[in-house]
Amino acid sequence: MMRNRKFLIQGIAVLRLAQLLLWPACILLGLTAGIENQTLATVTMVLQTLWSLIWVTIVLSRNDIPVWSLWADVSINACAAVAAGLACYSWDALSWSNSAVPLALGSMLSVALLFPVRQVLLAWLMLSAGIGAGASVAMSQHPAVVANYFSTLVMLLVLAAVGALMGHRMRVLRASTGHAAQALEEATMWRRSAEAQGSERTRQYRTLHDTVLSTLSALARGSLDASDPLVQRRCAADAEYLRSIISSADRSAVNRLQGELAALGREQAVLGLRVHHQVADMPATVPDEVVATIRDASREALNNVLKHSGQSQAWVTGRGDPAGNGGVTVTVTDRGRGFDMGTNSPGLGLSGSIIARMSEIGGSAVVESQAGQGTSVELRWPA
Amino acid sequence: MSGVVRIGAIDDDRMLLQGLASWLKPLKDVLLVRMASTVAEYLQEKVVVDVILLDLNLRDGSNPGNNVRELLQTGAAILVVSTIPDQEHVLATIEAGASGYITKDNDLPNLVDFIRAAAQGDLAVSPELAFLLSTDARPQRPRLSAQESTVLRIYASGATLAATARQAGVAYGTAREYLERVKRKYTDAGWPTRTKLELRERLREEDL
Repeated sequence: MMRNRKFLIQGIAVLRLAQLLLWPACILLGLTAGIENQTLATVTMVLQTLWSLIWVTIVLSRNDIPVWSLWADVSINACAAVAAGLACYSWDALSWSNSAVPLALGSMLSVALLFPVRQVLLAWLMLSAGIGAGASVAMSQHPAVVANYFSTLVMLLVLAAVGALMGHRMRVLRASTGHAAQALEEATMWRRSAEAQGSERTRQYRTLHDTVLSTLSALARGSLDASDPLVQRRCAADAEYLRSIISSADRSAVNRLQGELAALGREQAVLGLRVHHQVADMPATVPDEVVATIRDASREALNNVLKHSGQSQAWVTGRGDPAGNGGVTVTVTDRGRGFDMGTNSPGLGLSGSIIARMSEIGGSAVVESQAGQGTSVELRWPA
Repeated sequence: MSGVVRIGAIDDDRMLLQGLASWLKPLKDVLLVRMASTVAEYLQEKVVVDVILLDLNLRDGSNPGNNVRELLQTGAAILVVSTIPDQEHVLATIEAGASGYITKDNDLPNLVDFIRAAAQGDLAVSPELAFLLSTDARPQRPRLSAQESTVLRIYASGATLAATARQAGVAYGTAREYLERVKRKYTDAGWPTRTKLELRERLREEDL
């Protein structure tokens, strides 16, 4: 959609360059015989050429036409039309000898293509006045030139109308393709996140089948002894897994990280560590490598809890970026022994690899602890 | 109230109630004196208890906030219990004057700690409740100060109150005070039924 405008702007610049070539061509073809005051005509033409070159340079380098430059162009061309008209013999005031007329027409077309109707009319008036002033002496001497002047005005007007119509059409088209492109992009995004959620669901169902369903089926068959501590632990783990996926479902879009953290809780529950899993405001998608790294870092933190805290429960809390920028913070906390951050740090050696892993994906990890007050590891992405 | 704590329990799952009863049986200082599957059934008989464990979403579809308000009339402190942290309803029960909220997966020592805290009118804010409070995005939520939010957030991640205070850079008592203040803001936002006195006045007004 932006390409159309770029194309149009380049077209306008090229048109101007082509018009500048008209002048030498006219000289070669002897069409400049109608010039009475060579000096005035030449100075006018040189100044107009210089300005046109500057203008084309501005337009092509910015790939856009600044509004001020277009008005400057209209004004300069209108003034040039006065001088160029006066430089000619009265019979030839509006002939090919008047070098300013073609440029005035070009200027008119550019304005008409890019500006709304009111500005187009203003530009038409300015250019018409310039050409009229240039031909004023001639018109007072020969009434036939007046007819010429009117035909020039009509030509200007036709150009303005055609340009304005084309410009309007293109603006409408651009707006509608803009809307269409935006709608398409939104639809694609939505579908992608829906697909991501869909595959997450599939994965969750598979996990449910492997865990909760098989446990329940075994209990129903009577093949498991419900009072066996191992069975109880497994039931607790399954319950925790179910709870974590149910409680996260209505709070935010299900992303892979949530699923992974829930599965992690289940894994630890089987080992005898009860993980309280809380998640809120998670972004819809998190890059796969970030999911994997946070999952592994969380698992390591939970292993540390199991080994060092002397506790049988831990909390895993996932929060999205409050600003909604797609970042996540996962905290692994226990209420166990903890350690003194300054001196001996049994967990810190292990935490070193957590920190290294997190920084590899552009995240960070902060370990907080004090003897007797538990430990918390905060994983943040991005850092 | 350092002696025996008398409690009641309301849950639509009979099996869970039986489980709770057998769980609490060995304890000498916590006495389960009444069980019911609905609030109406519970209120049929007048029993004096210190704490009522109330299942958040009862199968009869009764409104959790109203359940809390009705049960507060018995003079007991209400501890809301649920399997799933259903934020909207949990917040409604806290606003209605419940002392605290815990999930059913808490083990016995945790549960007993919360029952004792509720019975003594102490801070019964579990990390689960702190988490629900800290992620409250409803337009009508009470305004918390920056420090209250920080303390709530850290405490919600499972840290002990001491660790929370240290991480937030405040004194232990201050952290505790912040948590209490947050809960009070919620209770104040709800129907003012915090004390029995206020409740009686309110009922009298409505009767007239």
